[in-house]
Amino acid sequence: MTVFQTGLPASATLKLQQCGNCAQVNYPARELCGYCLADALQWQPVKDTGTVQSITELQYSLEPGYTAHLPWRVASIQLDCGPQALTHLVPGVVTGDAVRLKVIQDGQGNVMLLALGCDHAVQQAAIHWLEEVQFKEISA
Amino acid sequence: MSSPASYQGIALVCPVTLGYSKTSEHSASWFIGSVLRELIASAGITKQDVDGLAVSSFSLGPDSVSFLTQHFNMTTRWLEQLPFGGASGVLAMRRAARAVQSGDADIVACIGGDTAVKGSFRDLVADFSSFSNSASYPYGSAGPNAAFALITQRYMAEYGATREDFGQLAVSQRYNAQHFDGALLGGQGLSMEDYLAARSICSPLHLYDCVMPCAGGEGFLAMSIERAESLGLPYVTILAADERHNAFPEDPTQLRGGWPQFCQALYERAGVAPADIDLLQTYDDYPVISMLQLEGLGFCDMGEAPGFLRKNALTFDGGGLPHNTSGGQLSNGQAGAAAGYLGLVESIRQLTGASVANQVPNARHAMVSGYGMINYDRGLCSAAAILQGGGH
Repeated sequence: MTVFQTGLPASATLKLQQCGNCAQVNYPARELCGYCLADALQWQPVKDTGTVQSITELQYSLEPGYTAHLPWRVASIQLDCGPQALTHLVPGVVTGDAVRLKVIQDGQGNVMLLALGCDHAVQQAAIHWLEEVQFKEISA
Repeated sequence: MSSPASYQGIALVCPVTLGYSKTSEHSASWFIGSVLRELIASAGITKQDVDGLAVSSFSLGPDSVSFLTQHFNMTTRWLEQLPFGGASGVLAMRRAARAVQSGDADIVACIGGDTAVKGSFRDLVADFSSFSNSASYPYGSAGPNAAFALITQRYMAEYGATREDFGQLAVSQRYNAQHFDGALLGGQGLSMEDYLAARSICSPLHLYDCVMPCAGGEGFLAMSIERAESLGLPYVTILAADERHNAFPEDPTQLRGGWPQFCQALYERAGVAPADIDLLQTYDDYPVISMLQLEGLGFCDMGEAPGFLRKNALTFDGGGLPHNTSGGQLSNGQAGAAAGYLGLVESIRQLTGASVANQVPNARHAMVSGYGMINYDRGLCSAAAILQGGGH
Protein backbone atom coordinates (compact mmCIF):
# COMPACT_ATOMS: atom_id res chain seq x y z
CA MET A 1 0.00 0.00 0.00
CA THR A 2 1.33 3.37 -0.93
CA VAL A 3 1.63 6.23 1.51
CA PHE A 4 1.09 9.57 -0.23
CA GLN A 5 2.62 12.70 1.29
CA THR A 6 -0.24 15.06 0.55
CA GLY A 7 0.75 17.47 3.29
CA LEU A 8 -2.89 18.11 4.20
CA PRO A 9 -3.80 18.23 7.90
CA ALA A 10 -6.43 15.66 8.97
CA SER A 11 -9.19 18.08 9.85
CA ALA A 12 -12.99 17.89 9.96
CA THR A 13 -13.18 21.20 8.14
CA LEU A 14 -11.15 22.21 5.09
CA LYS A 15 -7.85 23.83 6.04
CA LEU A 16 -5.44 25.19 3.42
CA GLN A 17 -2.31 27.31 3.69
CA GLN A 18 -3.15 30.98 4.06
CA CYS A 19 -0.51 33.69 4.09
CA GLY A 20 -0.29 35.78 7.27
CA ASN A 21 1.21 38.60 5.22
CA CYS A 22 -0.97 38.93 2.08
CA ALA A 23 -3.93 36.66 3.06
CA GLN A 24 -3.77 34.66 -0.21
CA VAL A 25 -4.68 30.96 0.00
CA ASN A 26 -2.04 28.64 -1.50
CA TYR A 27 -2.47 25.11 -2.87
CA PRO A 28 -0.69 22.66 -3.48
CA ALA A 29 1.24 22.80 -0.19
CA ARG A 30 4.49 24.75 -0.15
CA GLU A 31 6.81 26.45 2.31
CA LEU A 32 6.66 30.09 1.19
CA CYS A 33 3.67 32.10 -0.01
CA GLY A 34 3.55 31.85 -3.82
CA TYR A 35 2.20 35.40 -4.06
CA CYS A 36 4.37 37.56 -1.77
CA LEU A 37 7.09 34.99 -0.92
CA ALA A 38 6.63 35.64 2.80
CA ASP A 39 7.52 32.88 5.22
CA ALA A 40 4.08 33.22 6.79
CA LEU A 41 1.91 30.31 5.62
CA GLN A 42 -0.40 28.74 8.17
CA TRP A 43 -3.01 26.00 7.81
CA GLN A 44 -6.24 27.92 8.35
CA PRO A 45 -9.93 27.07 7.91
CA VAL A 46 -10.97 28.37 4.47
CA LYS A 47 -14.24 28.59 2.56
CA ASP A 48 -14.83 25.04 1.28
CA THR A 49 -17.04 25.81 -1.73
CA GLY A 50 -16.10 25.73 -5.38
CA THR A 51 -17.14 24.90 -8.94
CA VAL A 52 -16.29 21.84 -11.04
CA GLN A 53 -14.11 22.94 -13.99
CA SER A 54 -13.50 19.57 -15.55
CA ILE A 55 -13.92 15.84 -14.83
CA THR A 56 -12.07 12.77 -15.98
CA GLU A 57 -12.91 9.10 -15.50
CA LEU A 58 -9.76 7.00 -15.09
CA GLN A 59 -9.90 3.53 -16.62
CA TYR A 60 -6.55 2.53 -15.14
CA SER A 61 -4.22 3.50 -12.33
CA LEU A 62 -0.54 3.02 -11.59
CA GLU A 63 -1.38 2.24 -7.93
CA PRO A 64 -3.03 -1.05 -6.90
CA GLY A 65 -5.13 0.75 -4.27
CA TYR A 66 -7.24 2.24 -7.06
CA THR A 67 -7.45 -0.63 -9.50
CA ALA A 68 -10.25 -2.37 -7.54
CA HIS A 69 -12.43 0.73 -7.84
CA LEU A 70 -12.04 1.64 -11.51
CA PRO A 71 -13.31 3.62 -13.26
CA TRP A 72 -12.26 6.36 -10.86
CA ARG A 73 -13.49 9.94 -11.15
CA VAL A 74 -11.22 12.91 -10.56
CA ALA A 75 -12.18 16.58 -10.91
CA SER A 76 -10.51 19.92 -11.21
CA ILE A 77 -12.23 22.39 -8.85
CA GLN A 78 -11.99 26.17 -8.86
CA LEU A 79 -12.23 27.02 -5.17
CA ASP A 80 -14.04 30.17 -4.08
CA CYS A 81 -11.15 30.89 -1.70
CA GLY A 82 -8.73 31.21 -4.65
CA PRO A 83 -6.76 28.14 -5.72
CA GLN A 84 -7.63 25.34 -8.06
CA ALA A 85 -7.55 21.80 -6.68
CA LEU A 86 -7.54 18.29 -8.11
CA THR A 87 -9.92 16.17 -6.02
CA HIS A 88 -11.71 12.87 -5.80
CA LEU A 89 -15.33 13.21 -6.87
CA VAL A 90 -18.49 11.55 -5.58
CA PRO A 91 -20.90 10.01 -8.10
CA GLY A 92 -23.58 12.23 -9.60
CA VAL A 93 -21.64 15.49 -9.77
CA VAL A 94 -21.12 16.97 -13.26
CA THR A 95 -19.03 19.77 -14.77
CA GLY A 96 -20.25 23.20 -13.74
CA ASP A 97 -21.79 21.97 -10.46
CA ALA A 98 -21.21 23.79 -7.22
CA VAL A 99 -19.40 21.52 -4.75
CA ARG A 100 -18.07 21.49 -1.19
CA LEU A 101 -14.65 20.12 -0.40
CA LYS A 102 -14.16 17.64 2.44
CA VAL A 103 -10.94 16.27 3.84
CA ILE A 104 -11.09 12.46 3.89
CA GLN A 105 -8.81 9.56 4.78
CA ASP A 106 -8.55 6.54 2.53
CA GLY A 107 -8.13 2.93 3.74
CA GLN A 108 -4.37 3.50 4.16
CA GLY A 109 -4.82 6.69 6.16
CA ASN A 110 -3.84 9.03 3.32
CA VAL A 111 -5.40 12.46 3.84
CA MET A 112 -6.94 13.83 0.62
CA LEU A 113 -9.56 16.15 -0.81
CA LEU A 114 -13.01 15.00 -1.92
CA ALA A 115 -15.61 17.10 -3.74
CA LEU A 116 -19.16 16.53 -2.52
CA GLY A 117 -22.31 17.55 -4.33
CA CYS A 118 -24.56 20.18 -2.76
CA ASP A 119 -27.76 18.42 -3.90
CA HIS A 120 -29.47 16.23 -1.24
CA ALA A 121 -29.87 13.15 -3.46
CA VAL A 122 -26.22 13.31 -4.48
CA GLN A 123 -25.20 13.55 -0.82
CA GLN A 124 -27.29 10.49 0.07
CA ALA A 125 -25.75 8.47 -2.76
CA ALA A 126 -22.29 9.52 -1.64
CA ILE A 127 -22.69 7.91 1.81
CA HIS A 128 -22.86 4.42 0.31
CA TRP A 129 -20.04 5.20 -2.14
CA LEU A 130 -17.74 6.43 0.65
CA GLU A 131 -18.15 3.08 2.46
CA GLU A 132 -17.56 1.14 -0.71
CA VAL A 133 -14.27 2.87 -1.48
CA GLN A 134 -13.29 2.98 2.22
CA PHE A 135 -13.09 6.75 2.41
CA LYS A 136 -13.69 8.08 5.92
CA GLU A 137 -14.72 11.59 6.77
CA ILE A 138 -12.60 13.05 9.54
CA SER A 139 -14.47 13.74 12.76
CA ALA A 140 -13.82 16.86 14.78
CA MET B 1 10.87 44.32 -22.21
CA SER B 2 14.04 43.77 -24.20
CA SER B 3 14.03 41.45 -27.19
CA PRO B 4 16.30 38.43 -27.86
CA ALA B 5 19.27 39.34 -30.07
CA SER B 6 19.68 37.76 -33.48
CA TYR B 7 21.01 34.22 -33.81
CA GLN B 8 22.95 35.21 -36.92
CA GLY B 9 26.04 33.26 -37.76
CA ILE B 10 24.80 30.05 -36.16
CA ALA B 11 24.33 26.80 -38.07
CA LEU B 12 22.44 23.72 -36.91
CA VAL B 13 23.70 20.54 -38.56
CA CYS B 14 23.69 16.74 -38.47
CA PRO B 15 20.22 15.62 -37.34
CA VAL B 16 20.48 12.25 -35.58
CA THR B 17 17.59 10.03 -34.42
CA LEU B 18 18.65 6.75 -32.86
CA GLY B 19 17.59 3.50 -31.30
CA TYR B 20 13.89 3.86 -30.56
CA SER B 21 12.58 0.79 -28.73
CA LYS B 22 9.74 0.14 -26.33
CA THR B 23 12.14 -0.89 -23.58
CA SER B 24 15.91 -1.19 -23.47
CA GLU B 25 18.61 -2.98 -21.50
CA HIS B 26 20.86 0.02 -22.06
CA SER B 27 21.30 3.03 -19.79
CA ALA B 28 20.55 6.63 -20.74
CA SER B 29 24.30 7.22 -21.16
CA TRP B 30 24.33 4.57 -23.91
CA PHE B 31 21.67 6.50 -25.84
CA ILE B 32 23.39 9.86 -25.31
CA GLY B 33 26.84 8.49 -26.17
CA SER B 34 25.54 6.67 -29.23
CA VAL B 35 23.95 9.86 -30.53
CA LEU B 36 27.23 11.70 -29.89
CA ARG B 37 29.15 9.04 -31.84
CA GLU B 38 26.74 9.41 -34.79
CA LEU B 39 26.96 13.22 -34.65
CA ILE B 40 30.76 13.11 -34.79
CA ALA B 41 30.73 10.61 -37.66
CA SER B 42 28.13 12.51 -39.61
CA ALA B 43 29.98 15.85 -39.23
CA GLY B 44 33.36 14.34 -40.12
CA ILE B 45 34.97 15.73 -36.97
CA THR B 46 36.71 14.18 -33.99
CA LYS B 47 35.49 13.92 -30.41
CA GLN B 48 38.09 16.57 -29.47
CA ASP B 49 36.33 19.05 -31.75
CA VAL B 50 33.19 18.91 -29.61
CA ASP B 51 33.93 21.45 -26.88
CA GLY B 52 30.37 21.95 -25.64
CA LEU B 53 27.76 19.42 -24.56
CA ALA B 54 24.09 20.05 -23.75
CA VAL B 55 22.12 17.08 -22.47
CA SER B 56 18.54 16.35 -21.43
CA SER B 57 17.48 13.09 -19.82
CA PHE B 58 15.01 11.89 -17.21
CA SER B 59 16.75 8.55 -16.66
CA LEU B 60 20.42 9.60 -16.46
CA GLY B 61 20.52 9.73 -12.66
CA PRO B 62 22.56 9.34 -10.55
CA ASP B 63 24.83 10.60 -13.34
CA SER B 64 24.74 14.09 -14.81
CA VAL B 65 26.22 15.74 -17.88
CA SER B 66 29.36 16.43 -15.90
CA PHE B 67 29.92 12.70 -15.29
CA LEU B 68 29.28 12.00 -18.96
CA THR B 69 32.46 13.86 -19.94
CA GLN B 70 34.33 11.16 -18.00
CA HIS B 71 32.21 8.33 -19.48
CA PHE B 72 33.00 9.59 -22.97
CA ASN B 73 36.57 10.56 -22.11
CA MET B 74 36.20 14.07 -23.47
CA THR B 75 37.26 17.52 -22.32
CA THR B 76 34.83 20.37 -22.92
CA ARG B 77 34.80 24.06 -22.06
CA TRP B 78 31.02 24.39 -21.89
CA LEU B 79 28.35 22.11 -20.37
CA GLU B 80 24.64 22.40 -19.89
CA GLN B 81 21.98 20.06 -18.53
CA LEU B 82 18.44 21.03 -19.44
CA PRO B 83 15.67 19.49 -17.33
CA PHE B 84 12.87 21.01 -19.39
CA GLY B 85 11.16 17.90 -20.77
CA GLY B 86 9.39 18.68 -24.02
CA ALA B 87 10.90 22.16 -24.30
CA SER B 88 14.46 20.89 -23.89
CA GLY B 89 15.40 20.79 -27.57
CA VAL B 90 14.54 24.40 -28.40
CA LEU B 91 16.05 25.57 -25.11
CA ALA B 92 19.27 23.61 -25.71
CA MET B 93 19.43 25.13 -29.19
CA ARG B 94 19.03 28.67 -27.83
CA ARG B 95 21.71 28.24 -25.17
CA ALA B 96 24.12 26.43 -27.48
CA ALA B 97 23.73 29.14 -30.13
CA ARG B 98 24.58 31.83 -27.56
CA ALA B 99 27.62 29.85 -26.41
CA VAL B 100 28.94 29.68 -29.97
CA GLN B 101 28.11 33.33 -30.69
CA SER B 102 29.98 34.47 -27.59
CA GLY B 103 33.00 32.23 -28.09
CA ASP B 104 32.32 30.03 -25.06
CA ALA B 105 32.33 26.99 -27.34
CA ASP B 106 32.93 26.20 -31.02
CA ILE B 107 30.92 23.04 -31.53
CA VAL B 108 28.12 22.12 -29.15
CA ALA B 109 26.45 18.70 -29.26
CA CYS B 110 22.82 18.97 -28.13
CA ILE B 111 21.41 15.59 -27.15
CA GLY B 112 18.25 14.23 -25.57
CA GLY B 113 18.38 10.58 -24.58
CA ASP B 114 16.47 8.26 -22.30
CA THR B 115 16.15 4.61 -21.59
CA ALA B 116 12.98 2.78 -20.58
CA VAL B 117 12.56 -0.40 -18.55
CA LYS B 118 9.39 -2.02 -17.31
CA GLY B 119 8.07 0.07 -14.43
CA SER B 120 10.33 3.06 -15.08
CA PHE B 121 7.44 5.24 -16.26
CA ARG B 122 5.54 4.58 -13.02
CA ASP B 123 8.65 5.42 -10.99
CA LEU B 124 9.10 8.68 -12.92
CA VAL B 125 5.52 9.90 -12.48
CA ALA B 126 5.16 8.68 -8.88
CA ASP B 127 8.05 10.93 -7.84
CA PHE B 128 7.99 13.68 -10.46
CA SER B 129 7.72 16.88 -8.42
CA SER B 130 6.65 18.02 -4.98
CA PHE B 131 3.36 19.48 -6.28
CA SER B 132 2.54 16.40 -8.33
CA ASN B 133 3.55 14.06 -5.50
CA SER B 134 1.33 15.79 -2.96
CA ALA B 135 -1.63 17.04 -4.98
CA SER B 136 -1.95 15.10 -8.22
CA TYR B 137 -0.48 11.58 -8.18
CA PRO B 138 -2.38 10.53 -4.99
CA TYR B 139 -5.71 11.19 -6.73
CA GLY B 140 -5.93 8.08 -8.86
CA SER B 141 -2.26 7.77 -9.83
CA ALA B 142 -2.76 8.16 -13.54
CA GLY B 143 0.33 10.29 -14.23
CA PRO B 144 0.08 13.05 -16.84
CA ASN B 145 -2.93 11.36 -18.48
CA ALA B 146 -5.24 12.75 -15.77
CA ALA B 147 -3.98 16.33 -16.07
CA PHE B 148 -4.37 16.25 -19.86
CA ALA B 149 -7.73 14.54 -19.71
CA LEU B 150 -8.97 17.44 -17.59
CA ILE B 151 -7.50 19.99 -20.03
CA THR B 152 -8.94 18.11 -23.03
CA GLN B 153 -12.39 17.85 -21.48
CA ARG B 154 -12.41 21.59 -20.69
CA TYR B 155 -11.20 22.42 -24.22
CA MET B 156 -13.97 20.29 -25.77
CA ALA B 157 -16.63 21.92 -23.57
CA GLU B 158 -15.33 25.43 -24.23
CA TYR B 159 -14.78 25.24 -28.00
CA GLY B 160 -16.92 22.34 -29.21
CA ALA B 161 -13.97 20.20 -30.28
CA THR B 162 -14.86 16.58 -31.03
CA ARG B 163 -12.91 13.35 -30.82
CA GLU B 164 -12.67 13.38 -34.63
CA ASP B 165 -10.80 16.70 -34.41
CA PHE B 166 -8.14 15.20 -32.15
CA GLY B 167 -8.19 12.12 -34.37
CA GLN B 168 -7.10 14.24 -37.38
CA LEU B 169 -3.79 14.78 -35.61
CA ALA B 170 -3.26 11.15 -34.60
CA VAL B 171 -4.27 9.75 -38.01
CA SER B 172 -2.23 12.20 -40.12
CA GLN B 173 0.83 11.68 -37.93
CA ARG B 174 0.55 7.93 -38.31
CA TYR B 175 0.50 8.37 -42.07
CA ASN B 176 3.69 10.44 -41.79
CA ALA B 177 5.27 7.80 -39.54
CA GLN B 178 4.57 5.15 -42.17
CA HIS B 179 6.98 7.11 -44.37
CA PHE B 180 9.69 7.47 -41.72
CA ASP B 181 12.08 4.61 -41.00
CA GLY B 182 12.42 3.88 -37.31
CA ALA B 183 9.04 5.22 -36.16
CA LEU B 184 8.06 2.66 -33.53
CA LEU B 185 4.41 2.58 -34.56
CA GLY B 186 5.06 3.30 -38.23
CA GLY B 187 4.44 -0.33 -39.14
CA GLN B 188 0.80 -0.14 -38.13
CA GLY B 189 -1.68 2.03 -39.99
CA LEU B 190 -4.25 4.06 -38.08
CA SER B 191 -7.60 4.97 -39.61
CA MET B 192 -10.13 7.36 -38.12
CA GLU B 193 -12.28 4.29 -37.41
CA ASP B 194 -9.40 2.70 -35.48
CA TYR B 195 -8.86 5.94 -33.58
CA LEU B 196 -12.50 6.31 -32.60
CA ALA B 197 -12.89 2.62 -31.67
CA ALA B 198 -9.90 2.62 -29.28
CA ARG B 199 -10.46 1.88 -25.61
CA SER B 200 -10.87 4.70 -23.15
CA ILE B 201 -7.84 5.40 -20.96
CA CYS B 202 -8.85 8.44 -19.02
CA SER B 203 -11.94 10.11 -20.46
CA PRO B 204 -12.07 11.88 -22.86
CA LEU B 205 -8.62 10.47 -23.74
CA HIS B 206 -8.50 7.14 -25.54
CA LEU B 207 -5.57 4.92 -26.45
CA TYR B 208 -4.34 6.86 -29.50
CA ASP B 209 -4.40 10.19 -27.64
CA CYS B 210 -1.70 8.94 -25.28
CA VAL B 211 1.97 8.65 -26.17
CA MET B 212 3.77 5.39 -25.57
CA PRO B 213 6.78 5.77 -23.25
CA CYS B 214 9.90 4.32 -24.91
CA ALA B 215 13.68 4.57 -25.14
CA GLY B 216 15.57 6.56 -27.75
CA GLY B 217 17.91 9.41 -28.56
CA GLU B 218 17.89 12.59 -30.66
CA GLY B 219 20.62 15.12 -31.29
CA PHE B 220 22.16 17.81 -33.48
CA LEU B 221 25.24 20.05 -33.54
CA ALA B 222 25.40 23.84 -33.21
CA MET B 223 28.41 25.63 -34.72
CA SER B 224 29.27 28.74 -36.73
CA ILE B 225 28.13 28.97 -40.33
CA GLU B 226 31.80 29.31 -41.33
CA ARG B 227 32.61 26.03 -39.62
CA ALA B 228 29.62 24.25 -41.17
CA GLU B 229 30.60 25.49 -44.61
CA SER B 230 34.23 24.52 -44.17
CA LEU B 231 33.09 21.03 -43.17
CA GLY B 232 30.78 20.95 -46.20
CA LEU B 233 27.70 20.33 -44.05
CA PRO B 234 24.20 21.37 -45.11
CA TYR B 235 22.81 23.58 -42.35
CA VAL B 236 19.81 25.36 -40.95
CA THR B 237 19.78 28.86 -39.46
CA ILE B 238 17.70 30.22 -36.58
CA LEU B 239 15.54 33.17 -37.64
CA ALA B 240 14.02 33.67 -34.19
CA ALA B 241 13.35 31.75 -30.98
CA ASP B 242 11.81 32.45 -27.60
CA GLU B 243 10.51 30.78 -24.46
CA ARG B 244 8.15 31.40 -21.54
CA HIS B 245 7.76 29.64 -18.22
CA ASN B 246 4.56 29.45 -16.18
CA ALA B 247 2.73 31.87 -18.47
CA PHE B 248 -0.85 32.81 -17.55
CA PRO B 249 -0.81 31.13 -14.11
CA GLU B 250 -4.19 32.71 -13.40
CA ASP B 251 -5.95 30.53 -16.02
CA PRO B 252 -7.87 27.91 -13.98
CA THR B 253 -7.39 25.35 -16.78
CA GLN B 254 -4.51 25.59 -19.24
CA LEU B 255 -6.25 26.52 -22.49
CA ARG B 256 -3.16 28.40 -23.73
CA GLY B 257 0.57 27.90 -23.26
CA GLY B 258 3.14 30.69 -23.22
CA TRP B 259 3.27 31.08 -27.04
CA PRO B 260 0.79 33.99 -27.37
CA GLN B 261 3.15 36.05 -25.21
CA PHE B 262 5.86 36.06 -27.89
CA CYS B 263 4.28 34.78 -31.12
CA GLN B 264 3.86 38.09 -32.95
CA ALA B 265 7.33 39.35 -32.06
CA LEU B 266 8.79 35.97 -33.08
CA TYR B 267 7.40 36.33 -36.62
CA GLU B 268 8.53 39.96 -36.77
CA ARG B 269 12.10 39.11 -35.82
CA ALA B 270 12.09 36.20 -38.28
CA GLY B 271 10.68 38.36 -41.07
CA VAL B 272 8.14 35.71 -42.02
CA ALA B 273 4.41 35.11 -41.47
CA PRO B 274 2.50 31.91 -40.61
CA ALA B 275 1.74 31.49 -44.32
CA ASP B 276 5.50 31.24 -45.00
CA ILE B 277 5.91 28.25 -42.68
CA ASP B 278 6.41 25.11 -44.79
CA LEU B 279 6.30 22.66 -41.91
CA LEU B 280 5.27 22.74 -38.29
CA GLN B 281 6.54 20.48 -35.51
CA THR B 282 4.47 20.70 -32.35
CA TYR B 283 5.04 18.89 -29.07
CA ASP B 284 2.29 16.30 -29.22
CA ASP B 285 2.31 14.55 -25.87
CA TYR B 286 -1.49 14.83 -26.23
CA PRO B 287 -3.40 16.11 -29.29
CA VAL B 288 -5.00 18.97 -27.36
CA ILE B 289 -1.56 20.46 -26.74
CA SER B 290 -0.83 20.48 -30.48
CA MET B 291 -4.07 22.44 -30.85
CA LEU B 292 -2.91 24.98 -28.26
CA GLN B 293 0.30 25.35 -30.30
CA LEU B 294 -1.54 25.86 -33.60
CA GLU B 295 -3.49 28.63 -31.86
CA GLY B 296 -0.66 30.12 -29.82
CA LEU B 297 1.71 30.21 -32.79
CA GLY B 298 -0.65 32.18 -35.00
CA PHE B 299 -1.97 29.54 -37.40
CA CYS B 300 -5.49 30.21 -36.13
CA ASP B 301 -7.22 32.04 -33.28
CA MET B 302 -7.74 30.67 -29.78
CA GLY B 303 -10.35 27.91 -29.83
CA GLU B 304 -10.25 27.59 -33.62
CA ALA B 305 -7.80 24.73 -34.05
CA PRO B 306 -10.60 22.20 -34.63
CA GLY B 307 -11.88 24.27 -37.57
CA PHE B 308 -8.32 24.68 -38.86
CA LEU B 309 -7.79 20.92 -38.78
CA ARG B 310 -11.01 20.30 -40.68
CA LYS B 311 -9.77 22.54 -43.51
CA ASN B 312 -6.03 21.85 -43.71
CA ALA B 313 -4.26 18.60 -44.49
CA LEU B 314 -1.48 17.85 -42.02
CA THR B 315 0.31 15.05 -43.86
CA PHE B 316 3.79 15.68 -45.27
CA ASP B 317 2.49 15.38 -48.83
CA GLY B 318 -1.06 16.69 -48.45
CA GLY B 319 -0.43 20.21 -49.71
CA GLY B 320 -1.70 21.81 -46.50
CA LEU B 321 0.45 22.44 -43.46
CA PRO B 322 2.84 19.48 -43.06
CA HIS B 323 2.81 18.77 -39.33
CA ASN B 324 4.93 16.40 -37.23
CA THR B 325 6.32 15.06 -40.44
CA SER B 326 8.08 12.03 -38.93
CA GLY B 327 4.99 11.03 -36.96
CA GLY B 328 5.62 12.95 -33.76
CA GLN B 329 5.59 11.24 -30.40
CA LEU B 330 2.15 9.83 -31.02
CA SER B 331 3.64 7.54 -33.65
CA ASN B 332 7.32 7.35 -32.62
CA GLY B 333 6.83 6.94 -28.88
CA GLN B 334 7.91 9.36 -26.18
CA ALA B 335 11.56 8.71 -25.46
CA GLY B 336 11.66 10.78 -22.29
CA ALA B 337 13.52 14.05 -22.78
CA ALA B 338 14.55 13.00 -26.31
CA ALA B 339 10.93 13.72 -27.21
CA GLY B 340 11.74 17.37 -26.58
CA TYR B 341 14.35 17.21 -29.37
CA LEU B 342 12.34 15.14 -31.85
CA GLY B 343 10.63 18.03 -33.66
CA LEU B 344 13.80 20.10 -33.90
CA VAL B 345 15.88 17.21 -35.23
CA GLU B 346 13.14 16.36 -37.75
CA SER B 347 13.05 20.01 -38.89
CA ILE B 348 16.81 20.06 -39.47
CA ARG B 349 16.44 16.83 -41.46
CA GLN B 350 13.63 18.29 -43.56
CA LEU B 351 15.25 21.72 -44.15
CA THR B 352 18.60 20.18 -45.17
CA GLY B 353 16.87 17.80 -47.57
CA ALA B 354 18.04 14.79 -45.57
CA SER B 355 14.58 13.30 -45.19
CA VAL B 356 13.88 10.27 -47.33
CA ALA B 357 10.34 9.04 -47.96
CA ASN B 358 8.66 11.81 -45.95
CA GLN B 359 10.54 14.76 -47.47
CA VAL B 360 8.37 17.89 -47.75
CA PRO B 361 9.14 19.30 -51.21
CA ASN B 362 10.87 22.72 -51.25
CA ALA B 363 10.72 23.09 -47.47
CA ARG B 364 12.44 26.34 -46.52
CA HIS B 365 10.90 27.49 -43.22
CA ALA B 366 10.01 25.38 -40.22
CA MET B 367 8.31 26.29 -36.97
CA VAL B 368 9.40 24.07 -34.08
CA SER B 369 7.59 24.22 -30.81
CA GLY B 370 8.35 22.81 -27.39
CA TYR B 371 6.20 22.26 -24.34
CA GLY B 372 7.36 20.66 -21.16
CA MET B 373 7.35 19.89 -17.46
CA ILE B 374 3.85 18.87 -16.54
CA ASN B 375 3.64 19.93 -12.95
CA TYR B 376 0.41 19.16 -11.07
CA ASP B 377 -2.13 20.52 -13.56
CA ARG B 378 -0.30 22.06 -16.51
CA GLY B 379 2.85 22.23 -18.62
CA LEU B 380 5.15 25.00 -17.45
CA CYS B 381 7.64 25.51 -20.31
CA SER B 382 6.64 26.81 -23.74
CA ALA B 383 9.19 27.51 -26.47
CA ALA B 384 9.31 27.97 -30.22
CA ALA B 385 11.81 28.62 -32.99
CA ILE B 386 11.55 29.55 -36.66
CA LEU B 387 14.26 27.87 -38.70
CA GLN B 388 15.39 28.43 -42.28
CA GLY B 389 17.01 25.91 -44.55
CA GLY B 390 19.06 26.30 -47.67
CA GLY B 391 22.51 26.66 -46.14
CA HIS B 392 25.24 24.49 -47.63
